[in-house]
Amino acid sequence: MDTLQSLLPIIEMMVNKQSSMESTSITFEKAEQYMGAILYTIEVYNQAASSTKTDTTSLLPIDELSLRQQYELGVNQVLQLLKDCQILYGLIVDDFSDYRLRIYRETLIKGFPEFFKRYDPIYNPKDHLLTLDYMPMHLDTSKQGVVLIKDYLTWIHYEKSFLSLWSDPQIMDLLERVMPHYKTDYMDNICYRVLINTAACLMVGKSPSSLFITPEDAQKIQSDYGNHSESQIHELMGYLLDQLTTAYGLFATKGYEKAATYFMKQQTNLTTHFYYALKHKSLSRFLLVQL
Amino acid sequence: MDQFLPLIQQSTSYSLQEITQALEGAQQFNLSLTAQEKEALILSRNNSLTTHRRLELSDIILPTIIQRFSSSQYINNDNYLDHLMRLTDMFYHFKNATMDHVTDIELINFMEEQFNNVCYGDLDYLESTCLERFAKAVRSGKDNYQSTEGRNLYEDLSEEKRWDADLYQDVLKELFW
Repeated sequence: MDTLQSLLPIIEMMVNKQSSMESTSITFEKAEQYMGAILYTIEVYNQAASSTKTDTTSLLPIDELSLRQQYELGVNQVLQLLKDCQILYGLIVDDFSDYRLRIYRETLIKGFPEFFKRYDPIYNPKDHLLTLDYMPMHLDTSKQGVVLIKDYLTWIHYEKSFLSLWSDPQIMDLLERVMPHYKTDYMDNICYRVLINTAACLMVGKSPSSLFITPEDAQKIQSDYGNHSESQIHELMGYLLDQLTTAYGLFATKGYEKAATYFMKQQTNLTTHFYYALKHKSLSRFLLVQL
Repeated sequence: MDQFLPLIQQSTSYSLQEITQALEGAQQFNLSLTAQEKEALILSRNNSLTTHRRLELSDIILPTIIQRFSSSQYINNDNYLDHLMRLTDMFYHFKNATMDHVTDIELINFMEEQFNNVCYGDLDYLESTCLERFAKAVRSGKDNYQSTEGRNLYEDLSEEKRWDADLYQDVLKELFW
């Protein structure tokens, strides 16, 4: 009740702005939506400001800011995040290849223009509108609104840069091996699929530029690592990912500060997949062995 | 959403002050409410807000309704409280029914004009006919009420056959000339 009481003046301000002060009441549903918008915006501000102890745009230390001040600063933060998303999206669609994968194309090329047209950063900032059918390798879906979208676009941007190390036909060929009708039916992440074969190439000491594993390669991997424990495979994957993110210099440039950390998040997934493929001697199928 | 209910209930003391002030203007029409009636009016307003699931951000509607309707020839001290309660309830109901497209003043203007000039004080007719037609027109996208602030809409909304003056003259001529 106290929180609601303290949010009321901000709700009133929002209503007055939207209705030009011509309506003095709103439905419960609308009030709840506005309350959610205010709390989300304040939370965005608090998260951004928590990395610094004081807010540089205000004369007061952050814990002395009123709810209204936090909200107003939060609105600026939300609008800034939206601008960041527009910049990231511009980088993604520049020289974009969809690898003929429908879900990838529809999410990024068809879906995101609608987001930028319809997203309401003031009255409904929590609703990011899109279902995000194509998922990056990792996404914290507990986040909402423009915060989630910024994460999504950042990860997709990193993945796009990683995938650009190979030609379109190479990646499309790999996907075709996963699933002949991949263009319409493949629903998983492209980058992770490439990452699996990249790790396998490194495990046999060959350049991942070809992406493909021969039967001899698969036998060598089975023979070298088939008796490894899961923790040993985990350590190996960590090493390979570290090699991958540093060796190519791809993520050493500005704008990719979090890329290495992002790819390292796949260490556990890769461990599980490789460990069980080795245990069940199913590497040929797992690595789409090329005869 | 029931989190808003305590907020509705707690506005009582502030509302009492507002309506007491508004009622001072009603005295010139020999209209008044006792202290108990004022409390009953506020309680009725709160119940209307709860029923129609609306949160009021300022205590202005009830005083406005008092000020606008107290001068009506169809309101007297016997029906004063009941009319104020019903008009207030209608207001919130039709704010929902018009999906908040209509401003407060447009709706009150419409209600006042229709109540006095079309319904001749009949609240049932105001609610079930005039306001229903208005809400239906607003929902279907008609927005001429905006340019008139809710006034002079009777002809646009009327569905009853009325006298056609030209036809009447023609028939008269035929019969008597």
